[in-house]
Amino acid sequence: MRTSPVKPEPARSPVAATLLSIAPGLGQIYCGQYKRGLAILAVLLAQIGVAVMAGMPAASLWLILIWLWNIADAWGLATGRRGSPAIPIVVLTLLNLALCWRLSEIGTQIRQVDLPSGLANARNLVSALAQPDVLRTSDLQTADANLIVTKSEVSGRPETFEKRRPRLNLIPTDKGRITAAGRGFAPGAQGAVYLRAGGDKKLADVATDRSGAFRVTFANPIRLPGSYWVQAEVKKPLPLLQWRMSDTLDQSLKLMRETVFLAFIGTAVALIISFPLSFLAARNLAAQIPAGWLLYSVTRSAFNILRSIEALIIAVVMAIIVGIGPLAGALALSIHGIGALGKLYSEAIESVEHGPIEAVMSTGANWLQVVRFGAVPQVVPQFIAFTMYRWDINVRMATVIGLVGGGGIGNLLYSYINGLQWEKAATAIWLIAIVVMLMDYASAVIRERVV
Amino acid sequence: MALDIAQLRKVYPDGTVALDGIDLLVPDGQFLAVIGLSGSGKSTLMRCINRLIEPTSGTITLDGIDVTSANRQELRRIRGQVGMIFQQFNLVKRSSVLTNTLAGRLGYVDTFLSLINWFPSKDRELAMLNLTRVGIAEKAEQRADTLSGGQQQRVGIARALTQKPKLILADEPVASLDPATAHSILDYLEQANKQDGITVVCSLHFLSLARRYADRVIALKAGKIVFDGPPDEIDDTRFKEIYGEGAEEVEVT
Ligand SMILES: Nc1ncnc2c1ncn2[C@@H]1O[C@H](COP(=O)(O)OP(=O)(O)OP(=O)(O)O)[C@@H](O)[C@H]1O
Ligand SMILES: [Mg+2]
Repeated sequence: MRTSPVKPEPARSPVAATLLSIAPGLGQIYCGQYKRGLAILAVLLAQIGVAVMAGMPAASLWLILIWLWNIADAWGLATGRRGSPAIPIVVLTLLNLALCWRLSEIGTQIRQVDLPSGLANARNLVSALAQPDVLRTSDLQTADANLIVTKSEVSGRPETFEKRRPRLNLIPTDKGRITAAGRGFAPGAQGAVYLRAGGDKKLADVATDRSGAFRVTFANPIRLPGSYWVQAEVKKPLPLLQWRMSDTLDQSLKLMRETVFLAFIGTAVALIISFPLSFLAARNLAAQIPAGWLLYSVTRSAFNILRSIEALIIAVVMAIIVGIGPLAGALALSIHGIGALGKLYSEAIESVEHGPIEAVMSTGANWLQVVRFGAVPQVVPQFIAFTMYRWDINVRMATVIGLVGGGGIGNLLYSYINGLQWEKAATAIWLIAIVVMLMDYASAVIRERVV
Repeated sequence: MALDIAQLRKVYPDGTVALDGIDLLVPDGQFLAVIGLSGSGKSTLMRCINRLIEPTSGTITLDGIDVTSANRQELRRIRGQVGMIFQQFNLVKRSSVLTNTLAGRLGYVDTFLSLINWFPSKDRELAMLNLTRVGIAEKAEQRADTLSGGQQQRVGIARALTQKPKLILADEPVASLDPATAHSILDYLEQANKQDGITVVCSLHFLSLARRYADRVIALKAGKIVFDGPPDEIDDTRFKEIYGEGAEEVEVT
């Protein structure tokens, strides 16, 4: 946008631009800044979408700040000055930080990693990878009945308080046998009749006929008098167009989102703290201030120390300090990230061209101004690339931290594996792989574009 | 702005004596050319004047104000009045031409406002005016690295002029430009000198350029001034003294 030459433009009326910009972006479009206008509109809509998705639509009220900035910006453009987008960037970052924070505050338990092991389990898991639980291709139809057993007789009473169509009748026959008769089910479907008492007990397999009815006889399983719950379950195959995500996939997606947000928080906090410090940790800039070498040594060593401690270890330590849960995970990613990002940032700053910095110094600028006008513009693309890269790494780290109780998809994967639910575990594993690959790809694309 | 240099020495940490007792008085409004072989100390001299390089000993005063003993804040105020132009232009490549030019105001504006890129409109007008003056106002919003070398140096001049300087230090401003462009750049410096009365200290590779633009020439050799006088006093003998036996003068037209 900045590289396009400015054509001599007809004068715009600042009043018209201001009024038009009440609709976000329109004022900018009126001033000939189409991309800027559309970007403002798109960002606002997208952000509202995210807020609604995150279940905090009221947070969108903060976007009023951006809306006000948008009006000021339109007025500025009409009077021939292009303002900096710093305000919307700061608002968006903080807002998303808050959203993510809320979203990932789901209480979870830390526990010792104690997963089923052994070759057989590994084989189960590997073969499950070929058939992850991702689709719901059938609907479960159920009908209930009570089996009432007294000393003298056995009788059945269908549950009718729900106006569901499928019905189950239990008819005692001779020789202590019971006939279960169902109707109103999907025609030509498979199912079974269960005794729901303590552990489930399958009484008989059933298959419905063309009218959706079945009839099956089995031995009375009951010895003690009482009222027992019997349920018929029929799998109604869904037509292709009505196939849905399985509950497992739905759950995995929700927790994957939590993990990505946890990674986002870790990255954003690390960014906010390491960004200003990294200029002190760069030799070329630190040299320009009194006691600069001291600040340099302190910040650089701090970065190096933080960077060298594994996030997983920090997570365990944090769990002791702040308690178990996502907060510990987010802190771990943030603290480790400060070191990792700070080191990358400060090395990028040290490799900038010195000429422009000297030139800005020679105008009488103070240190902050030299940083802002001489160094920052030179490092922006690299900073964006490093930050994306960090987020990408953090998604992976957050998954692992989740395994030891930091919440998110790692947590879910743990419980699936522990419950020997291999198809479900496979779903989570596939999802992690796909998201990590996508993040990898996206960060590569963005890096290529900005550098 | 009058410049007074006394007994200036610069010894680099590796022991190189770059300046070896420079005494120089430049009256207000003069166009002084500094010539000399590569390595003779021209850049070191220029950079000592606004203390981009710390002199080892000696004093430098600008309009009676001692630069060498100035504290950080005083130094910034002095630098605000001294524009500098570089051989490599030293623009911030990814910033716009206008932002590069506005950097010339940094010594004068409120720090906080400048950090959010807010400059008073009279500063913006001044920057645009100077860009118009060097003929690239229409490139104001373009990124600096999309400009040719000559155009970049014109932004360099606009940045210096936007400081409203009393002195301009130009360190080989045209050494990486073709002769025609070199002349147009030096014309702008001449204009700043003659019309605005800005003192100019400009180091040049070619004596012919010094002859064309300077009121006075000093020649450096191994950190010492070996010639000081009007350009037409440099005859063949003097020339050989400055540039060494076997050197031929080339014309830049
Ligand atoms: N940072 C430095 N450290 C050590 N020696 C230096 C440094 N900068 C310059 N010198 C030396 O000081 C002397 C003067 O250098 P200076 O750059 O001032 O020369 P110059 O006349 O500007 O040369 P040129 O025409 O090549 O730009 C040279 O011998 C050079 O090698
Ligand atoms: Mg030089």
